[in-house]
Amino acid sequence: MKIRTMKYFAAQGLQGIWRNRLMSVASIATISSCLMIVGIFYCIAVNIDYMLESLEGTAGITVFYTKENYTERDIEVIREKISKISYIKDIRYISPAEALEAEKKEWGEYASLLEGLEDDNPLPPTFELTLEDIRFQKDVISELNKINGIEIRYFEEETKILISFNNIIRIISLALILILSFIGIMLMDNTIRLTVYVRKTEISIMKYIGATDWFIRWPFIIEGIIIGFIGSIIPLGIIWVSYNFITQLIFEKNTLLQNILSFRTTEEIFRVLTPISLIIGISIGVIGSSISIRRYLKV
Amino acid sequence: MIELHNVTKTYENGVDALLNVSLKIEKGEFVFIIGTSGSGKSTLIKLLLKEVEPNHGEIIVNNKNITKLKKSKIPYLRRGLGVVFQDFRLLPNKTVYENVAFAMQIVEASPKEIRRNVPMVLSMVGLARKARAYPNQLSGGEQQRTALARAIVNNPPILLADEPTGNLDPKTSWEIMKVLKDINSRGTTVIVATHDLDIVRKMKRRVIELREGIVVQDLPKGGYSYED
Repeated sequence: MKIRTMKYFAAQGLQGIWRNRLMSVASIATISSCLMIVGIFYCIAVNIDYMLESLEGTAGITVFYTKENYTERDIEVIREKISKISYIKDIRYISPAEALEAEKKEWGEYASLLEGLEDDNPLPPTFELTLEDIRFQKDVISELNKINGIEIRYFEEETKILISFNNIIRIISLALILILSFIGIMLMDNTIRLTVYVRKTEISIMKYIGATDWFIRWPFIIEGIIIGFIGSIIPLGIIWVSYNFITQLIFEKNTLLQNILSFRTTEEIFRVLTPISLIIGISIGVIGSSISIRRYLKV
Repeated sequence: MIELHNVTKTYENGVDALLNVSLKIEKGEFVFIIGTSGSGKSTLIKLLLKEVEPNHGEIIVNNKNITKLKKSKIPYLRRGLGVVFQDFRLLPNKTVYENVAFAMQIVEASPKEIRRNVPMVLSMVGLARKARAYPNQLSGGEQQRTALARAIVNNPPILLADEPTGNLDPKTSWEIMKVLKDINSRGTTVIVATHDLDIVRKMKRRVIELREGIVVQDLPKGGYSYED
């Protein structure tokens, strides 16, 4: 294909958009709202995942050995039992002496109050477990419960809420994306149909003069690409600005939330969101126009 | 140049448009196809352009058997066949020059070729001074001459004209015929479907008469008279 031919296609495509501005705007708006939802839900899902990851890193599950008068051997038996459970990435043993040291550090200047506890240490031996994936927490807990003489502590509610919230977000966003993509394709189909109708005479003349089918199709496909492209950059721009704004706001104004919530940077988000949006947007545009070409162009 | 062997075309509604038609048109000929409406003239032109498919027989155009032609090859067949219609079919939002240049653009001719060829064919059809006019500023004859310029600008070996004077008065019709004669004298094979017998008689060219889908007469140059 020659460059001047591509220029001709691009000019025809733009002309088509301009001639049916109303339908073009409707198509762009639908694609934009579809991708706006994609973007918003992507931001939420990614950050929930991020927070879950942080939880996995720090908390995990803490196991206390509750029997009194234990031997080194008992501790070894427990450690072996735990290590047989799947999905556990790491087991860290903290002896009562180590735990006391850690406590002392925490207490700082009041550490002297803990003096003398070394001989009669009330702190139990502890295992800190890190999981491969926090989603397996339930399975690991039920396995741990089968072991006698231990007590378990973990962030059950928090993880549960985060996981189910994430699942709901995913289902809703998937449904909305599907519905809006469908509407987008339908509107695109209509937009292109109008262009085909306006250019009917031109197309029939082109066919008599010997224009190839692809020569006739390209302007319509380009119209779809342009509409899809505009439809994807609008929500990307809006999300960029608002994501920056919201994360800044939380970091600057609300130190309390800052400790609980952690966010991916705007750059990290857009590294993935930009190609996703462009692919979805342009696909909707091109699929819509292809359907129309097939149905009304009859080349 | 063009050969039809026992070609039959029956439309889906059962109408026989052409029945067992055989004919041969040589390179450089000027041929009239005459007959009343419904005689099969238009079907013949449509078959040559591959707008419709024959039910039986064989069609050869420009030494190529086009009876069974892939859909993707049809554009290339049409590039060898210039065509004009009764209703001109010009693009209203393009000037005379642009209408003609458009035919070159879609076969991806270079801008240099376009700048050279378009004025040439416009002066050939006598429209050099109207290049910047839009179709609605032209008379019927001028519009048809624009269509002729567009049809020949890519130098097709064959020119098909389907009732080219159907919308024109006798004087203008005659002008169009003179242009067609000019085009023919430069070596292009010209085929004109018409029911304007006055013109046919005066032109004294080969005449093929169709009646209800059958070739009833095929008279060599000058053999056609009014009495039939």
